[in-house]
Amino acid sequence: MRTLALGDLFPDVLHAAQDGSPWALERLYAELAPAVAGYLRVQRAPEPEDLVSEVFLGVFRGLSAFRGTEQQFRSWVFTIAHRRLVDERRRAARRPFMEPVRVELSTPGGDVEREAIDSLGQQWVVSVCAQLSTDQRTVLLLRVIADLSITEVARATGKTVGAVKALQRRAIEVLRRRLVREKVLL
Amino acid sequence: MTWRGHLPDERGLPPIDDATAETLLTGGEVRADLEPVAAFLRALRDTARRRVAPGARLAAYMAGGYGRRASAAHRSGVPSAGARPRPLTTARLVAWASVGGLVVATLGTATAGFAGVLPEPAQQRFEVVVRTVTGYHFPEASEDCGAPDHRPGTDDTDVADDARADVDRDRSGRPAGRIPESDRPAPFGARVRDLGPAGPDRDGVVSARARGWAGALSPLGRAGVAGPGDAGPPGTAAGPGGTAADGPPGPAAAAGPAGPGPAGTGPARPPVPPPAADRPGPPVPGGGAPAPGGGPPGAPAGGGR
Repeated sequence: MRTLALGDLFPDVLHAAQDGSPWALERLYAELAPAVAGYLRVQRAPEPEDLVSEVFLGVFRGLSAFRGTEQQFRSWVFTIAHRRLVDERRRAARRPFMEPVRVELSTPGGDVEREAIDSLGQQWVVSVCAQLSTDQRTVLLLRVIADLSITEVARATGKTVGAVKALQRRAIEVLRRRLVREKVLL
Repeated sequence: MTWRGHLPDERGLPPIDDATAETLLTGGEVRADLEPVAAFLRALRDTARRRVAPGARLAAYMAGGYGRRASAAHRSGVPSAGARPRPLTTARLVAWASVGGLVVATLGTATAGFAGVLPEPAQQRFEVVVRTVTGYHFPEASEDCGAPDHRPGTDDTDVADDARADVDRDRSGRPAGRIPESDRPAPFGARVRDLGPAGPDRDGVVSARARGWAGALSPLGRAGVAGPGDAGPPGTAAGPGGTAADGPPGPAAAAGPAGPGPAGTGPARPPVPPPAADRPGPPVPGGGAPAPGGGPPGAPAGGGR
């Protein structure tokens, strides 16, 4: 499991964020926003960046009520992100389908080759994960990207621990078959 | 044995148990056949390392901070960070109750105003306000209920006069008008046959006043008008030899020959007999209608006393 980013600093950062310090809020956002964005992106959420902002607005609104450790904070943030994603999917299902126009903006002066490889790698990861069922993909991403435990995933998704175990096992089997079929050597 | 839908290379792969899956997902060391899966999961983790710029609302929110969140949120419309749902305090309850009461009072006043049941000053003010705001014109009371006009028959007095005039026209054939004092009905008890100008006062019960009435009624007989109630005032009892129209229907009036004589028209009647007396048969329509104070239905006409 990934080591906690803030570690011993987390209580102070959290306290400062609860008091409204901009630096603390930015620190919490910087720590968790990339993972939340990755989770939403691989889940093929429409406008994942906008959704990330909505997630953190919700997080910061409820921050004063939060009590817990850094891992619990992480689990809470991803629970909010997952629910926002579900809400967004329901909302999207009710409105007519419109293919989003994706405009990739590269940072001027950046490593274009590296970004291209990353983009290709990300597209491939997204396409492979698309082979999974929604539940399998959700469990896999919460375990891998969000670094949540089985219990935390079960709590975030409203499933039992046994169901989460079965889903993650089947997800790995699907991935293995897909990768063997493509003879991918990473 | 071949797995349906799987390529031959997939045959013989060992199943993945929970422990192996946990090792893969947590980034631990795995056996060689699972290395592609482990590599894919590493690539998956890498997708979550790209920095994401906050949106405009979130950036403004974070820059505002909690210390300035009230004013910043007020300016930007962003809700306060960390703001819990406000508890339902007494002040909020009072505020909501006040709003509800105001709504109820407004609706009640409007309803009463449109119904026109407000006190007069308030009603006038309400109508002015409604007319100014909506242009709706409240009907005046005279428009609503009808102004008391003075056409004949539109008020109690005129109706009574018209009715009297109609009655008078029927009796005398004269134009409508107020009934003169002399045309008033004879007092109860006067007999028609005795009311003639020169009728015999056989029983000696006709008062002088009744005779005066007889003079007033004599044109009816001379004109030969025979109709219901023509021969006398309502309730006048028919004496012996009275016309069939005088009293209630009875055997004599219905079937018997109503010729001149004791059973026909009375001697006080004019020389021209009424049409009903010329033919046997049913009585003149309406002639036997029980009148107030008249004899009981079915009393024999001409039964007298």
